Amino acid sequence: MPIGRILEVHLTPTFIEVRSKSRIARAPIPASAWEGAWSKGLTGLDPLLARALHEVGVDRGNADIFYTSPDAAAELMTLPLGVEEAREAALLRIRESLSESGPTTPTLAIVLEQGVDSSGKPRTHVLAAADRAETIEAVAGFLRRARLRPRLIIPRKAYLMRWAVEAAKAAPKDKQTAILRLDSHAGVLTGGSGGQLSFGRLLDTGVHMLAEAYARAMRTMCESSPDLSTTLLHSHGIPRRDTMIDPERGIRGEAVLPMLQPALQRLAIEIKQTLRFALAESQSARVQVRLASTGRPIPGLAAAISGLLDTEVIDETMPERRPEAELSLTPYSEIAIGTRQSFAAALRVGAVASLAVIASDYVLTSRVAERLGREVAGTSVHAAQFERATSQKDRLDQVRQELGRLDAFIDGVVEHSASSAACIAMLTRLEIPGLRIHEVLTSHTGNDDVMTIRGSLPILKDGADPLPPLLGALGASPLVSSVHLTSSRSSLVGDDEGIHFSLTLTLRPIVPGDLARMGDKS
Amino acid sequence: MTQAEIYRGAIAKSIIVAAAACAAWFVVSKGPREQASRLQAELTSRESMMKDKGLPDLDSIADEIARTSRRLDEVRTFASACPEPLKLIERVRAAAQSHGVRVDRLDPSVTKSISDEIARTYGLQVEVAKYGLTLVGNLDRCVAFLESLERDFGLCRVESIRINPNGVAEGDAGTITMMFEATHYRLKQEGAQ
Repeated sequence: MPIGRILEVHLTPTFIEVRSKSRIARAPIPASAWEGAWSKGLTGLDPLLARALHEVGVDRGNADIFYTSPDAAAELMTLPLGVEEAREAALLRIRESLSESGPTTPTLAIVLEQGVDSSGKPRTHVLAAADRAETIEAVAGFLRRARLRPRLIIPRKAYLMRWAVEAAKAAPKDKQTAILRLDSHAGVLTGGSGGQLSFGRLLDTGVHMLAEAYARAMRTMCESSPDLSTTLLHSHGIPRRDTMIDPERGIRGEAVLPMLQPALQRLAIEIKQTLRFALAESQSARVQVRLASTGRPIPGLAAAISGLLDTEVIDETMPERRPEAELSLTPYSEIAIGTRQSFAAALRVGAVASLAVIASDYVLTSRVAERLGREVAGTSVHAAQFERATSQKDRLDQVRQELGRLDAFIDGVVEHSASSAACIAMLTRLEIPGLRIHEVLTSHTGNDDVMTIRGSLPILKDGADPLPPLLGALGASPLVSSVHLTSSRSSLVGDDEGIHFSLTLTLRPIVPGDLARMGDKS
Repeated sequence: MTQAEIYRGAIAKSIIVAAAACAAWFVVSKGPREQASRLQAELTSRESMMKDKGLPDLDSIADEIARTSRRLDEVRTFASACPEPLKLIERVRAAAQSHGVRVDRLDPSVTKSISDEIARTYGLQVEVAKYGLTLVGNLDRCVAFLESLERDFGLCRVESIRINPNGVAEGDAGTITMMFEATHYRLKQEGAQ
């Protein structure tokens, strides 16, 4: 797609018109300038185009040109072929219609409608156009010299036919309609019914013939110009005999009408012939002709044609169509240049857009990083506190671990054992009269510390058993968890009667701190 | 140049420009992107930690460390209070003498296997001294000596005791013979071989 504004340039034998988005400028072409224009590659028209461009305030840009040339050919062909065959046939035929043609002749063929006729055979409407390669190059060069890049180079005839075909297809479905449009130097007549195209033909008659009639009438009385005659034609159209056309020069309708009649007659004959060949007699009698115009209509023209045809002719204003690429005979070199330039421009735009996106992304991401950095910095005090706490907890864990190992070690070797010294001291403090300890033996049995005591006691004076007080005293000691009498037997203890015994004490494990507290109780 | 060649050229240039743009974006934005990602992760982590745990009480942790360290020092001191093996024998003899009991026999034993077992089990370097001892003397003095052994020589475990009253010879009334086996443990200080 072309980048930048697109101008429309209309090149006709009588004027050059430049249309920008908001302005229109028209430069009349003197008849003498047009006559030799093509043989000189249109260079003679360069000043006129430059003037028109200056008027619309444009000095460069892309342009679509609608041109009229002596050799341009355009034709609506109805062919009893399929789509592709019809296209090929149309191209061949339109190329042959040129006086000089070859493989490089710019041509186009647009399939407008495809269907079957009443007998069931295929019927394809193809719009074909062609022009000499030199002509197209001349048109392209004409634009390039004005610093315009040719985009679409469209023969006006092809454009008119396409326009009229679409208008005919859009006509009401309930009646046979013919669309008549008169362009500056050509006309077109198409017919359609029920949304289908019936016929289409280019006419030699254009507005210029009617304007020329005005010009001839005026020339007999005064100086004239194409612009003035065209202006008067659009103002007065087909006048009555007594209509005052130019009060200053004293020109009335009666002076113009004789000049207009031949042109009108010729137009009527072309229309009649076309309708007669294209339509059945019954359809031809009922056809409604619509005199279409895209701007100001010519007053009285519809009525004049109606009178000549004896058929209803109504005026209708219709919109122009946008220029279509498929109607263009743009030489391939221009297409290639245009395509490359378009791609290059698109690439530049894409690259700049990418850089902008990258820069934006960089800036946005950097800002996000800065904001996060500030937020992180805001939590640094807490983070440092957490780090110190983590470090201290690690240190505490180390200390606890080491203490745990030492405690386990001490617990394993010392703390869960009884204090032998305390137990023996406890024995020495027992207040049992006559108690004699013969042997004390401590040892470890399984997980217990065991003390075995062998000794003797005299029989009490009342003959009572002396062992229970001893067992009671031992059992009451906090150092002893259990007392077991292993053996006892009566025998002499010295000279007295007594008991020899053997006791097994299971000692209570203690920790060093407990010993002081136990000392009081034992 | 054909239309296809024009399109191919344009596509190739587009790909090159797109690749260059991607590379430029990657190079230019990499730093800030990674920085933002890292900061976001750090911020999320900190916020999560604050939410889960709240602010730590450093003073209480410091107090706990001090308390536990003091306890560790006490235990270490206790566990390493035993003299070295050679000095231990001298100290035991001296203690017996000071308590007025006579040492009739003192037989040290080999303890390397015990040290190794402790190292394996607790991960501690501990010197072990084990011996069998026969004392003769007054019972109270022998008991006092035994208490001194358990109190003043660090980690000490009296494995077995056998006490026999003498009373065989005249004048020996009130004296006993005490035979016992004791094991002393000495925690090596850190860094000591």
